[in-house]
Amino acid sequence: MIELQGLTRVFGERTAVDNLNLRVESGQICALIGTSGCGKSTTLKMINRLIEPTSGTVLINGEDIRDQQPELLRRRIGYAIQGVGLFPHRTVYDNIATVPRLLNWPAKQIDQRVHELLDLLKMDFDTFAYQYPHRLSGGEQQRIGVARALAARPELMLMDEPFGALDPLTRERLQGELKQIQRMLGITTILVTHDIEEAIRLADQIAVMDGGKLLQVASPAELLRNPREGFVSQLVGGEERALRLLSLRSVGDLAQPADQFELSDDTPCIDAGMSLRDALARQIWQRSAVLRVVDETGATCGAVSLQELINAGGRD
Amino acid sequence: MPVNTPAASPASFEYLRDWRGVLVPLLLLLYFALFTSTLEPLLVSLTPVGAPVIYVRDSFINLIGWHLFLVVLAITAASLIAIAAAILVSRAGGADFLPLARSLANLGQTLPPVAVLALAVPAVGFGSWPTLIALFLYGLLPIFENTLAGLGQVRPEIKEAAKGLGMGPMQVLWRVELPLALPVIVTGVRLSVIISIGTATIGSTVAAKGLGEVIIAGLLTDNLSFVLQGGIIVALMAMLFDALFQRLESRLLSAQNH
Repeated sequence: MIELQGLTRVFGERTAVDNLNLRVESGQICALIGTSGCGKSTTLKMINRLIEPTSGTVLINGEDIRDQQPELLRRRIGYAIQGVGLFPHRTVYDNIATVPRLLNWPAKQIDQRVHELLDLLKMDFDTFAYQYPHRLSGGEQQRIGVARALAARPELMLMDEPFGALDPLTRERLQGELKQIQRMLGITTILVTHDIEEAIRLADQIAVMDGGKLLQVASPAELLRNPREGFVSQLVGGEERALRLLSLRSVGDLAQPADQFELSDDTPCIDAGMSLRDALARQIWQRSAVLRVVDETGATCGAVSLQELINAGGRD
Repeated sequence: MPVNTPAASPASFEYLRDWRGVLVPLLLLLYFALFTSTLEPLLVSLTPVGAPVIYVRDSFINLIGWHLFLVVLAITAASLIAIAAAILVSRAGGADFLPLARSLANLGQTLPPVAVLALAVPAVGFGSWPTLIALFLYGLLPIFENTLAGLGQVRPEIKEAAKGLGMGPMQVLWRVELPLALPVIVTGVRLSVIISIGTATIGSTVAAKGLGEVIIAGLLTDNLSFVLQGGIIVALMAMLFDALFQRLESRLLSAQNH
């Protein structure tokens, strides 16, 4: 668990972060979202003491971060940034091994950890371990950046627009992978982004910032249904709000027993793991108001109708 | 079509081609230094009647050794000082000293080495010391400026990542900044070494051992053959070191895979 209490940072005349209070439960992803210069990156950097707060405290598992030397603190916190910041003069292996080496892990343990992490990110050890970063694609570099941040099993992970520089397809794939890995490791994560889609896709909790102030903290569904007036409404509103709401739930979640519908062999199918947004898109494309929901084995496990989708995505 | 060319393996051929910049001046240098007498028929026309054609008061190998000794000593000292100074002024706490350090290094470069010799002789006497001082001062600027440039070109997000992962300031410097700046620093050292190899010749005017004494002996006795022998050997040395350092630079760059 991490708690920010009354966190404030003043640069000269300008208050970059103004009395910010935020609590992120263990194992959750919290997205800090806002426009450039809203103070979200400053907030992130105050957590690993790259920037010292003017006032206020940060507690990690109840422990004040000022009780520890900044370098030692940072080795306990994973840090991944936009543009990755991989060391160009070091191989993928050495990049990933950075923090374990700072912590003086034995070589054998480091070697094992590098294998583990490359496995986790679905990158072949023999192909990638001894490559230099510039040989990798943007997506691969970003994966290595994440592996490097995770290397020493940190308690907390900070990510500053980690997918900002990637093309949309790669970004979406990496977001999926990140979510999967985060769920698997149960690592508390704070993610800075300016992309509301990314926040909705990844976060358990979204904290909207503007002008150094925290405007609203809520789960994605809550934020979409009840945004506060002004900036938050602008951010999440618009015509796509319903679609974003649908993207939060899976088809399996909403499926009704199949016998309530008259399904024929021609009824289009959809995997239970897909989102409701995908279901709606498929209904429109297939000109069918009902979809057959199938599990991984291909067996029918229910059906979903257009009316359910309208109920799920429509306003209260 | 070159059908009947001898079958040289491509690898060894490439190896030779990579090293030709070093090998050619090295072989020529050895030839000039060890077998100068074989050139006597060529040089005799440049020599005044009755004067010796080949410089024999000292062996060329000995003079090359002394020449290089002075250069290496002076540039080693200059490198240490210039790199240390550049590191200091590139730290947050040392930024105030940048203009001062820069003007000092510039001063070293602006002062003609001859003037330094003239000023240094009364202070430290004749011999190698005044030459060492002149070469040292003259070598500072390129190394200082290149170290600054090399450190300055390290991308900020790389430094931020290093810091964010938990490296202390010294670890960021030694493990990230200096390795990344090294190729540019080596370029600075190369420039200083080459300038010094040429400049060291004037040290002989104040009785420093080196190839300058062959050239000066030639100038004093109107013996163009001596001037040529000294000049060519100095030029070949400069070419040799230029090639050696360039090899080093490209090796470093390819290790970083830029």
